[in-house]
Amino acid sequence: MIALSYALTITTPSSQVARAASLAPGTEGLLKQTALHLSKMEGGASIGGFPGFEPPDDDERYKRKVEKSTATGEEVNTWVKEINNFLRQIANKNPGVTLEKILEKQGLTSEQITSFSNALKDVHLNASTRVGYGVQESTAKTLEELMRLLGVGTW
Amino acid sequence: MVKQFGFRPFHRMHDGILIHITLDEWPADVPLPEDIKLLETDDGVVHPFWRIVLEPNRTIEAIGGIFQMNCSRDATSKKFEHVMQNVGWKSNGMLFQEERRTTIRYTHSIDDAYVEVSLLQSKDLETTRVTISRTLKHPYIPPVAEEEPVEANVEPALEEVAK
Repeated sequence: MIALSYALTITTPSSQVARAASLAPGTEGLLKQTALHLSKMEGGASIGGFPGFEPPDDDERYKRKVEKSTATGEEVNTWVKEINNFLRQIANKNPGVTLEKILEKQGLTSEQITSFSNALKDVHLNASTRVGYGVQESTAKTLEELMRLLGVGTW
Repeated sequence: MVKQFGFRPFHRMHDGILIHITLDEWPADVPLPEDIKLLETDDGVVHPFWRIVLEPNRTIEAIGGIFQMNCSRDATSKKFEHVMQNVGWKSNGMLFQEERRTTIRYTHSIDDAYVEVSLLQSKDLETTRVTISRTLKHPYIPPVAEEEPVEANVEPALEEVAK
């Protein structure tokens, strides 16, 4: 955690194409998808400068799930599995590279990188509280293994 | 999950165990503002957990929970600052602020324990989701393997004498 107090300025990291060019092909899209799915579990907030998740306007129930974090354990399990799927692909495409380094290459600022890893930690805790209540132990385990593989601390 | 006949239900994890706890069992050293409540989802209240992670050279003890406050993030943040300071936790400016999320890390002078509080403000600004974890890391030195019992060598030695 950065020992600073500041407001995060949101820019679009994906616009920094030159830096992203050094990433394995397809990584940029996977990062955007990961951020979008993290956002779904973080009330639709912007994660790491990527646009936040916008639930459809005509679905009040779904909007509430996202904006008030009222998703069921089974829904959380599905969403975390989606995040795991994107993280796995990012790790496979960039073997041995930490998420921090990947996000740096993508052009994210240190604040945006912290935002991304803080969201992952929130999702990890959310999944842990639901183990046995909709979230499978294997889903939580995979998330932890991927976070470890990508150098993001769980505890 | 092992449920029947046990002292209480627990979940076997890949690296330890996880036990769900009630709000009454939440550790007193991580005080909560009076008006806080457990997050209520579409399938009920989300109970906090107590997790023990067993690693080769340490044991990690983590408590985590998701709560809700019916006030803004700033008001929630102030309430936490107040209750945490009362029992010796200090944030020392370890604060990360975003448009809708604030993450605060508290440390304690007496040990290596730390508490992370994540505040997520709802879009309508009416509520704040509070995610809290307290982590303690206990060093562990595995016991030295026992020496091989002397008796194990006696029998072959006797056989040698008989010859």
